[in-house]
Amino acid sequence: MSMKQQSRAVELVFRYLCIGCAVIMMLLLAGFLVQLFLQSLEALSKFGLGFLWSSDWDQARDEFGALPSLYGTFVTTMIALVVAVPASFLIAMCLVEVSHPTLSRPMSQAVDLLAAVPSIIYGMWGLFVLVPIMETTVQPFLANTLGLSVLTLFSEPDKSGINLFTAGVVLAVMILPYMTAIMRDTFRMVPSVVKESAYGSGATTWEVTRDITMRYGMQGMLGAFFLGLGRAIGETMAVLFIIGNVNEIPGSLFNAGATIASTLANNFGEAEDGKMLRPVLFLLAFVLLLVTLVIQLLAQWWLSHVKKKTGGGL
Amino acid sequence: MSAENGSDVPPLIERRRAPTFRRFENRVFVGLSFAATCFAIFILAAILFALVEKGTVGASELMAINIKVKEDRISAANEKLKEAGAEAKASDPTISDSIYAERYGEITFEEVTEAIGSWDELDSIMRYEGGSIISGGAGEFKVSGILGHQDLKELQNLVLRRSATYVVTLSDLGSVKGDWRFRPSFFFNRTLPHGRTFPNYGIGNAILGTFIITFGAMVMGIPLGILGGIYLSEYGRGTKLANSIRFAANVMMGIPSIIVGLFVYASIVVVTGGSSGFAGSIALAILMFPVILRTTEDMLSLVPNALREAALSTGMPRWRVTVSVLFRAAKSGLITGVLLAIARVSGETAPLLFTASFGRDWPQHYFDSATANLTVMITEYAMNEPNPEMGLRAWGAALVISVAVLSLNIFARIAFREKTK
Repeated sequence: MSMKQQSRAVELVFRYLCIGCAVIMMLLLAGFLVQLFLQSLEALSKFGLGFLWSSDWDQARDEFGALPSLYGTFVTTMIALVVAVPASFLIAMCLVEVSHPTLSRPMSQAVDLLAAVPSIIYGMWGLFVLVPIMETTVQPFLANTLGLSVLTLFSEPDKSGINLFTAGVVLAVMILPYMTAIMRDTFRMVPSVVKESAYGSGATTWEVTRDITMRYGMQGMLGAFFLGLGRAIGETMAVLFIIGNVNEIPGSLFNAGATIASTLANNFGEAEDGKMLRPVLFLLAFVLLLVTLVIQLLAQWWLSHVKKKTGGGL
Repeated sequence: MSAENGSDVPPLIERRRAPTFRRFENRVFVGLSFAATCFAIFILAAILFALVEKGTVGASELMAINIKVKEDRISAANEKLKEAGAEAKASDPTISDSIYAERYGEITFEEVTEAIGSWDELDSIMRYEGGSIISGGAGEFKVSGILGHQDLKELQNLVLRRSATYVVTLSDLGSVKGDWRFRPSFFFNRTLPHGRTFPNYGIGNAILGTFIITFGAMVMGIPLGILGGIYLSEYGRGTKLANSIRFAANVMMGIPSIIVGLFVYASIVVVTGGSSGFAGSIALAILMFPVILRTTEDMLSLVPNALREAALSTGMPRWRVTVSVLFRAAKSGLITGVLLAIARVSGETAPLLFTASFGRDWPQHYFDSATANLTVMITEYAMNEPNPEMGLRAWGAALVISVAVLSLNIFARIAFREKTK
């Protein structure tokens, strides 16, 4: 083989190697869908779609339903987003608009570091540090001092701190750095000419943020929202430590509950081969996978929609 | 760009709002944003503080407990007893004098030192062989022997007079302090069940297992991700296949890690017949793959086209151009991305719960037996064991994994920043 032929062969091999590796990604995604679907087939044929709105969870009778964990996932994610969306917006505003660069760099590095903390550490910290604080201080404050206990959601403040509310708060802390990072980066990309002319015409920092930065950075904010949503829905370890893992639908947020991910982690160890529990858990995992898929698709579609509407501005 | 449309941008200067209100509003939001940032940093500090505070205790051994009885504390305790006695008498006037004296009578210094000095009182707590109590005179004692973390707490809560309705404990009468010593063998010894009876154990096997599992994931995940990224950036740019692979990678990045664990369980663990470190590595590699793929693509796309074209025009084949020109140009970004991906997956727990599982032995059979690792060990110790000492050990392990992950993260960022300057 001549040199030229040899080099062409190497080029061809390298090229197909690259294509092969990239295609594995698609195969993996397809594999996830197929494998989880196949594994959950038994449960799907037994419970049908009614699985989604049944609230039974009885291992002795082999009666299972996804509603309690769906409810727990929804509630904790909502709490996390309600806390983290405004907080990360304010933090990004502080880092980009308000604080001096010498101060803002270490501050944004600290926020980045918050994202690097492993989720199990959040779980341990939540369980051993935050849960007692919630129990003795925050829950009574919300329910009694602010008088929110008239709402069913905030009743029973004397329950243990291991509950849906604490899990939501920890989730908020966990998604906060991711959302802040994206918002900060998009806020930084706003052309300074536009901002400066607004400042020049007498706008305050808040007005510039609200009317200029927020409009320009809308796409980034939506991206941050979806990223936070996806993370909060799938987070396992921190929630597992804090939520109490009870498959019930409690009236109050100060009760123990379960999310899909925590149910999977908590029960899969005992789901031996041949038990109904195993296909049920795979079905739950399949539902979770579909939910994250839908969120991703929605996010991609929405982002391209916004991009089109704003003329591909940012 | 929306600002150029003009009509939908509210005119800033003509806003009919009072300047005082605008100033006030601005101050409120600027203050809020600053407060939120400070709060986020405070939370980071709180987490790090808890890690260091509890982790250092978990990684060290209780060598001795020092008890020092103090005269002034005794008089304060007597006041407390008197109050409790008055309350008891008010609620139950029929209480007999002898019982009252036994329960609420004054405590003397001699009585306390005698009680501590007599081993019987402490014997129920000091249940280990070889434990001894040394009296240093003047109310000072040293309890030494094989001590568990919990002994300190139990000693502090020891009630000297059995009938004294738990009003006065040992820590009310003097100081009870643990003598902690950092013990390097914590890092080198293996885990043992129920640490109380085996104080001299550590997390060595879990540290080693985490290294092995992460290394296995690197071997699988990094080449896959980099080669796939090269395809997206160099060969398939703009093609339909590349776009759908990019989409798949974006979706895969958002998949919850517990689902990756279940997928690997169903595909590998069930097939090979049991959990193994190898299965854990595969799960982590699946998590790394899309991250490294997207990073590689982004970093290679940042390399200016002129460089690519210049190299190609010398007649170099494409793979040579990629490996020796583009990689060199994008080196620091690539390394940072890979290091960050490694840092992220090495702290993961959920994918390992059912794939690598947890073993108490040294990791010997990577391919066919459960392999000890730090994160699953922390979960086991913190959640499933009722023994609070296990919780402390979990904090020790948590400190180790956090220091590793955070320092790798910081290192990757700093190394990157220096290159770009």
